[in-house]
Amino acid sequence: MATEVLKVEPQDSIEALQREAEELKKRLEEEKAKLKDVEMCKAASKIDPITNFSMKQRRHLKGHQGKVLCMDWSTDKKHIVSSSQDGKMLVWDAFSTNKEHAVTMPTTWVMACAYGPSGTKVACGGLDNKCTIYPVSLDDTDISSRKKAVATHTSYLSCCTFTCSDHQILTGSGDSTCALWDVESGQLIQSFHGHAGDVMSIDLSPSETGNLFVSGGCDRTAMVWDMRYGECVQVFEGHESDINNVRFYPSGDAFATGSDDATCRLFDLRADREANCYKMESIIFGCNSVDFSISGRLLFGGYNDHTVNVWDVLKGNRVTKLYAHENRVSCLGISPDGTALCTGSWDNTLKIWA
Amino acid sequence: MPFTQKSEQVIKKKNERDALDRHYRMNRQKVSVTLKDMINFCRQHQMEDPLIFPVRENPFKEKKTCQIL
Repeated sequence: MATEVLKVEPQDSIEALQREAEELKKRLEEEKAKLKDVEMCKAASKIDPITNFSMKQRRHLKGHQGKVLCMDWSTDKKHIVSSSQDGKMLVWDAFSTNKEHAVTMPTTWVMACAYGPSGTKVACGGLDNKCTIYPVSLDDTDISSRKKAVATHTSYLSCCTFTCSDHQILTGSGDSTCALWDVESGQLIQSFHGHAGDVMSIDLSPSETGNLFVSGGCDRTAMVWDMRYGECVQVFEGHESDINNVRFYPSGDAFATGSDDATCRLFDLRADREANCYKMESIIFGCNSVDFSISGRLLFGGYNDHTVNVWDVLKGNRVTKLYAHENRVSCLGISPDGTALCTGSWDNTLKIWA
Repeated sequence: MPFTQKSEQVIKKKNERDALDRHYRMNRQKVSVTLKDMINFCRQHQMEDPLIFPVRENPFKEKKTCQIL
């Protein structure tokens, strides 16, 4: 019996599988090359350029004692959750700039935080390798007492996002996996293996039928996953250094990445290839965070040189540069109605721009 | 190489191959088609993009008239 178990089918030997994979990769590249019949800047040449773009700082949120590492908007377009190296998670009223809740985590470097779709839950985590969920309501002054640990990874939590309901949460980790969890029971629903380095960022597809999400990481690749089966359906390569952030284009047909190679890129899901690369010779610092305006025309990137570059997604040129902070811009996000941009920085503060 | 380690590697390689195979067999579209859709999406939504065409009632922008008076 033992010999039967040990018997490895010839076609399943590591070498044979490797050869097969190489062959598939080659054919894949050939297929992709066939379909590239136009460049994006050419396709968009007849589109009017963006003129009179103006954006000013409207609010300054001060309160963190360390680098701001992550932020997320509530669906009410008013509240913001942020997390910091100081081990704190803060919930802000962005209109009044008041802090409504403060939670102290067991470890410093709270790298991930997220608002639940209902606006009544927030999640965060980091070096504790966990994702902890807190209820938020104004009547509750001590939300820490009602916390719930949901997810556990074998390395730091780098990112988290609720799915379309408060009942499930998707996490990404330095252990190079992503995982989907049931919030109520804390049980693992599905895990996603495939990255060969730390997962830095995840984003859910905005399309209604979409069970897709995208992840990006230190292996310089972005992967598109089917949440139902835990399967990787597309892999996008091209970046020359870590991918720090991924964000879906509002139609769900593409996604943008921000990388340590000082570029942002747009990857087209349906054509299965890179559609555009946003870079300039003068930009030499890494990009930590990206997000689109609600029409998808503008792409905002937060960089290590303390600035935010605003790109015209279609034409590929830079629309403007915001001297945003006094240190790295670590995170940014457009409000759900598209009226404002929030940026978070290693200068310990967040700013609202409109 | 111990057997368990080897079989684990085979499984990993198999998964890699299967993922590539799925990726290879997906339905791909011409760039000209997908870009047209992307450009149309922008065009359709641009007028309602408050960061391109500022709206009068942006809660983050201070009102010009003094409300107290």
